[in-house]
Amino acid sequence: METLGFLMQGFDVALTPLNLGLALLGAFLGTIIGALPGLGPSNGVAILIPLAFSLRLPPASALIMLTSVYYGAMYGGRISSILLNIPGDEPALMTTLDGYPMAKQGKAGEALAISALSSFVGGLIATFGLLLFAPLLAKFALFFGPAEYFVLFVLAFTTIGGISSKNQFKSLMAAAMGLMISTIGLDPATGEPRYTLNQMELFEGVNFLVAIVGLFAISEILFFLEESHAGKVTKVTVNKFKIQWKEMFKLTGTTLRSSVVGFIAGVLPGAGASLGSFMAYTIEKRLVDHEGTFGSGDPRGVAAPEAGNNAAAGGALVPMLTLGVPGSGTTAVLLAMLMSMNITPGPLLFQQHPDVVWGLIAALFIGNIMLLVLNLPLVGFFAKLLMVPSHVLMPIVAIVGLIGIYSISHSPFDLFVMIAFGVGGWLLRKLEVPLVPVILGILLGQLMEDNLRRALNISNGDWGTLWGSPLCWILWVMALGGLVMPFFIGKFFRVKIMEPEPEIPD
Amino acid sequence: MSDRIFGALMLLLAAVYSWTARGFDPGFMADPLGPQTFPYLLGAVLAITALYLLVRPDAPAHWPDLRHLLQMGLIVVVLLMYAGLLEWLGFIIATILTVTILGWRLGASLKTATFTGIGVSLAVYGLFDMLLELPLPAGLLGRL
Repeated sequence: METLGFLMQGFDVALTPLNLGLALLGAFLGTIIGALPGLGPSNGVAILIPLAFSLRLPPASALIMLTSVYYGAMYGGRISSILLNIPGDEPALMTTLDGYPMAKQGKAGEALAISALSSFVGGLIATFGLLLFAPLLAKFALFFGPAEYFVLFVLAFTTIGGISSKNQFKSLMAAAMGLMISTIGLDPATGEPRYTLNQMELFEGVNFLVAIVGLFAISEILFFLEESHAGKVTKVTVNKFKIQWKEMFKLTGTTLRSSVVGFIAGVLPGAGASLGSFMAYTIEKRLVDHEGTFGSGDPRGVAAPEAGNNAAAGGALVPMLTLGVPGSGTTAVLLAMLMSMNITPGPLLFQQHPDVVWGLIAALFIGNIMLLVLNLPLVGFFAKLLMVPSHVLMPIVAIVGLIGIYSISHSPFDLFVMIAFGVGGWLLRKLEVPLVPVILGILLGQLMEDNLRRALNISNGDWGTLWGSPLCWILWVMALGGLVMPFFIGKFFRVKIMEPEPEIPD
Repeated sequence: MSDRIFGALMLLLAAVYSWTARGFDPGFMADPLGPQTFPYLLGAVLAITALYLLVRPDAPAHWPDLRHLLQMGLIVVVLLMYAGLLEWLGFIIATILTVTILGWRLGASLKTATFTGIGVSLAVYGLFDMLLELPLPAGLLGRL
């Protein structure tokens, strides 16, 4: 009952005209960002954070806008998966399996409508899940002391590579790099400058927004240049269609099952949206694909990964909000967004900023509905965006990224640092070193060191405190499991995910 | 091979990073962690992962050919110049120049690229400076 009252307060926050307008704007912009080739949800949200910051929106409003962007981008990404067989991000890979064949059969409109509806249901169920489980986990997390938190951060880094991680050593290496970058600047405890090279600009440390926009946006441009499919424009059309509600109702079972599977996958550490959509698809295939139509344009093959992936995205918010530990790339970017507003997620968030938490949850409900309302009639327009040529798009990405960062600090030095991060990010991506752990390291480094310091202060310098409680032990075992498991079962998952390698579209 | 070189460089970085941490002054406060312990831990993790890469590198990465590398170098230089000259040239002029060069290198004809440059510059200026009221540097045009 308590929850319900809080939720009502949340709706009070979210339903002001300003916030409703921002949600609509966010969903619209997000869908555009997602639909544009080469810009995934993480990139899109990353580029827009500096703007939300410089516009000095109140935290709840900024959150509402950016989560709508995030939801919108996830949906927009499906447009290119279905129409062009080009997944906008990793979780969208499973959608191409049945979505693209449907489009080839002239049923692109239906596929997009199914995707919108099942995403909606998945997102809705996940938001209910968040509503139920997040307060419970937040209460439980109050038992965490500094030692437990330190181990929890270790757990976050060993599992961030995910179950399908190719090379665990590379994700650990990336995490170490990110954490190292976070140590640049004045040591908060002693005031000792560390790794500042005596540059005044570095005394405050590297601004994580500068790093994120550089790593994502600038490296994307370099990648694009290298692949140099410049000047190529694809013609895209969406057929006229009417939603056949009868057909849609046939998908109810698939959508509901997949939403639950996805939500659970999202809550677990190291799983995230990719695994959510993968598991949802595989389970549905086992359960209902009696005629072997999955993979050749079965509507259920579109509904399952879409519901699973959106539910997983909602599920991933549970550990992010209650523990402050994101489990995937996009939640890491959402964490960056919260931190840029001086809000540190964790169990105390629910007590200190209830307006933010419940406003956000209410915003998720509203964003979800906005998207559905926006997308069903406008899908033809969004599909046209796939035809925006890269020589227009990529310079815009560069300029908006640079100006966004410039508007925060008005310092050309930050722009140089950002470009350096872009080049570094390109190198790392070429070497198949994942970028998300780097970002997570930059975000969490200071908190991690801080908790270690407090744990040691309490125990008078005895390092045994790090495995001094049963909870610590459980977390260590999970961390170790997350580190070792991909070596054994990762191969199996990777083969399964990569097996239906999308053929080159004709 | 790329992985081996990268691993060696990271091993070097881990060494320099940890070596630098030696010099941090723990201060007069009784702090069991001190400013150097956390960096030592990180240096150790980086060293271990770097050693692994040296011993067991992945399949070699595909590097772009020299022509593409030069192209990318040019883009990076253009972006750096944009960062450096933004305040002096002003947003509108700097953006027209940068977007034109970027668009041209990304495959548009010089004419299309110039139109894109002017269009993008004015549109972003209108959106940011006028609509969102985020002041952008006026630069040369402001001094007229």
